[in-house]
Amino acid sequence: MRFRSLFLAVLCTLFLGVSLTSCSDDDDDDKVTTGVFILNEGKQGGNNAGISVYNPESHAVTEDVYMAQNDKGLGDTGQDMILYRDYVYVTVYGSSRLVKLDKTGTEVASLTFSAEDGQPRNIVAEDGKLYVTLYSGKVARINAADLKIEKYVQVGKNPEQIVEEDDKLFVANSGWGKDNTVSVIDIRTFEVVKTVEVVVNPNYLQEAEGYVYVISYGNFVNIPYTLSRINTRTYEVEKEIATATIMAEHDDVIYLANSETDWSTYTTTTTFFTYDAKRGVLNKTSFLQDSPKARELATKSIHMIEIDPNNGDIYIGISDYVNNGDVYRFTKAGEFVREIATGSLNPNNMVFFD
Amino acid sequence: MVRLFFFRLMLCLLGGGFGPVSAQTADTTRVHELQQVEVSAVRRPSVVRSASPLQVVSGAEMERLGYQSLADAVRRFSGVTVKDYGGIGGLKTVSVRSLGAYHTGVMYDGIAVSNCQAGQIDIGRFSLDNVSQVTLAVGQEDDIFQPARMFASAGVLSIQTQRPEFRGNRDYSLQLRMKGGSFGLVNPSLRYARRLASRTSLSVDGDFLRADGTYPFTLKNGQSVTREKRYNSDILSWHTEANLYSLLRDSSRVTAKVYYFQSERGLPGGVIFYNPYNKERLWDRNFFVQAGYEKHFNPRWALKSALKYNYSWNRYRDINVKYDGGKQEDRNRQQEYYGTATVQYVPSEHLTVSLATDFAVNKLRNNLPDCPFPIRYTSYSVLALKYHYRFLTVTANVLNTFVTEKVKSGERPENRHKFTPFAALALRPWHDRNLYLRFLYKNTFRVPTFNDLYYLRIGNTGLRPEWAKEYSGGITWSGTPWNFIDFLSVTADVYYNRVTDKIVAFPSTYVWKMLNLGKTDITGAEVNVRAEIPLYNRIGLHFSAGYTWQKAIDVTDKESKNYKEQIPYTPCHSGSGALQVQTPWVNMAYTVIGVGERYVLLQNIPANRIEGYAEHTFSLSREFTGKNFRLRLQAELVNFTDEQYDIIKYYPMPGRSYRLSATLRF
Repeated sequence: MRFRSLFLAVLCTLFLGVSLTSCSDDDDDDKVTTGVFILNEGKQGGNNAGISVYNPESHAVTEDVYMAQNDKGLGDTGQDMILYRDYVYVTVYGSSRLVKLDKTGTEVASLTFSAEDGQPRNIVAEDGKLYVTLYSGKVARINAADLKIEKYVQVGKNPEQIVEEDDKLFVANSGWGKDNTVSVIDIRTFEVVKTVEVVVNPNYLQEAEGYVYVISYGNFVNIPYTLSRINTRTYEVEKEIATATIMAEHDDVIYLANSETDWSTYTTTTTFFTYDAKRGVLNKTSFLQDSPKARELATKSIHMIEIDPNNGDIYIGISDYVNNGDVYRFTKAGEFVREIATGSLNPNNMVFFD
Repeated sequence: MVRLFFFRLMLCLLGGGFGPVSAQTADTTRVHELQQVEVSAVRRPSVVRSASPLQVVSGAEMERLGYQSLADAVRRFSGVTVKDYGGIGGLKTVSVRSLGAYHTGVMYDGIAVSNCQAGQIDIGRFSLDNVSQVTLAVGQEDDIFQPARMFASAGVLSIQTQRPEFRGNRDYSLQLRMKGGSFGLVNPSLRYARRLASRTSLSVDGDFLRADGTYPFTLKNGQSVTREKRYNSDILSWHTEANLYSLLRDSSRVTAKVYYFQSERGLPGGVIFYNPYNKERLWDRNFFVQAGYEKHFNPRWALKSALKYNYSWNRYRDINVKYDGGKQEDRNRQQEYYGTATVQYVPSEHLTVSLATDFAVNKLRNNLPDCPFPIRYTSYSVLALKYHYRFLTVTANVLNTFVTEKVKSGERPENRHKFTPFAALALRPWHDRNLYLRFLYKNTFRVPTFNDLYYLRIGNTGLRPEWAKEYSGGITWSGTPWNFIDFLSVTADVYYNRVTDKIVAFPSTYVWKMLNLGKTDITGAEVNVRAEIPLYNRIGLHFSAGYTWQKAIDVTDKESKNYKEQIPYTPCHSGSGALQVQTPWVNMAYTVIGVGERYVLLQNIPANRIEGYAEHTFSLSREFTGKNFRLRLQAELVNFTDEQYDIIKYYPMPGRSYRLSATLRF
């Protein structure tokens, strides 16, 4: 309990300063990141999802703030986390719930999905609404204020990531390898207006400059992990831009990594590269400068890439699913800054408070 | 996907098997059974004279002590880790000295039970009703007149069923038993035996079991502590078997068995915070038939052989909107054809030699996409010898295993051909004292399972076998040191094991693969004490206790965060004890099992720690003897301190419960 009050005090001072500065300024360039939440997925069935707080100045890590603030665990399998209008929203897949947290990690609302809804996957927020993909093949529109479900729309099988662009929602229907479509939902009517065919098993989505970028996992046999992009107006698909396993977006640059494991030698090779969304050009040069840590990462499977929207710092998460995960921080220029021990399993999402 | 795989992997535990009743070694010390206690039909092997560390419990003892199941009995053995997913229908596997359940051979009436798909044997399905004795041998059993498969594992759990007994001049016997207890347990059983001819008898067993399994448990989630109930944990099963025993004119022995088991159960899964939804169910069917023949031609030559056909089937179903069509259904079917022949030759009073050859064909069919319908042909041959001279007994063997596989599609593993050795030495330094020193070395491997090799994308046909090396040394003693004690035995062993090329699931980017990647170093010590003390007139006291210390550490990768840390679910300290007081009026028994803290995952950090526990059970029984019948009544209070614990994290075990049983024998 003493720890908790101390922790609260630290967080309050941290965020008090923050909110004063952030209210006065809307310009991205002047914003400074003062706190970072890291979502640790945990091990399925382990009820050990959690959120670690990282201080980008002091590099201090506080483990499992959700537990510290709410006296209970976040649940089983942290799936997605977003920051929207000063609140953090987290989907917890195994526990089948959505939670709304304030900046101290205190739960202010939660929603449990029914067996008919299916378990929640990913979230996007727009105009006071949250849009959450559900494994029943639906997207739910949820009021961000009180977490009440307002409406559902049916999409494809096992929808994963969801993004918003041009007043439309794009949903990757993975079908666990059996679907190959991206559903497009008109955000005003909340109806599917188009179903776009992409490479089989789409999972990751990012949007930039009138395009939605899709990573499909392929079929694990002869179709590799593939990056494509969809024109958000014409729905034309530019297929097979690159082979990539994970991506992030910042300033119209798509940051990509491709991890491949050779099962005869048990060695993994990861390459890092970028795609210029403005010019539509693939840049094969690594976005990481050469350093011992960058070389180490080149031999690991990449579990997460997140970019700090305020300064472009790159955070790369790795995990072996059995030991606690680590996050490697680099500057926008690719210089190694710090290795962060998250104190829990499988870091998979980060949000940055300014 | 990965989670689904593990679930299915756990569920795919098929198999089952019985064999002809093997000749027990007459290597028996005095067994003190007080009055009022039935003497089991199988002679108890000596744990003191055994060259391999051996632990024994008889069916009658398990009954008196109030053990709930075979798994409940086995988890009290020293050096054993039973993974128990809770409840009556939960999966239960046995690992000996931290080598992993894949390295434990399970023998049912002398014949190995196999499961090529999952590799581990679920001992949860075996009924205690017709068991006469359970033994656990590290390495292997001392008797070398056995099928070759018995020599192929790092440890052997052997289950012997009861043989028919006829009282007086009767030519039949009948036993009716009714058990009932908490969580809706109803378990009637029937056993009928008939003498068909002077030296031929037939027995028929049947038992039925049902339970709701909805037991309460305490769930801790941070500061919040709530009382919850375990749902979807029901079970309905029945088991029938018929046995024929015949001693022919030329003194050869013929046995035959037909067996059928069927069950339907809910799979409650792990407790998930905030989400109690669970609809997983499993249906099992197992049928087999087997025949055995054994002949002692003369004091020097003997032959033993058996044939078996086994069919196992299961269906797994999960209902959830996440599946295409709202449900997932897996069906697996395994078949085994098995034959064995052993010849034993005793050239002198000091030496025994045996040569055994086994051949097995295993097939798997299932409805998963890309099932390659594998067929595995395995041959085992073993040459074993046992030399005994005054103070010295040496047992040694070499086993030759050949495995080849056929698949309908895709890749198949290379043929495997290995020689593996075993050697044990027992010394008795003083001929007038029951003090023995024993040493053991064994090197064995387990072949990758069908799941390891072929399961969807995760399987890897490039897998090599996983190796287990055992070194063990011990001292045993038995005697009557003081007047007030009838019998006392003490055994103490230390051991070192090493598992290499351990088959583990290795994560990469979203696709996992089975790899030979693990290395485990195991150091341990165990002590067992057993005593019988006559208190007064017909009042006696039996006492037994065991303690195990184990350090089982992962030495796979120096760079990894869990290097040299204790492997999951392996306690440093564990022990068990049993105390029985037998009087002419009533028999009382108290048992306890205690397990220290363990880790749930590889990393030994507080978040992964799971607390230790102690479970206490008390039972009372009395037998009434009439002119033509015997009636036995028993009451058990299980976990009477209502300890709330998990063996596997988030698979809570039941708290306090009771059980009543009545057995009528004619």
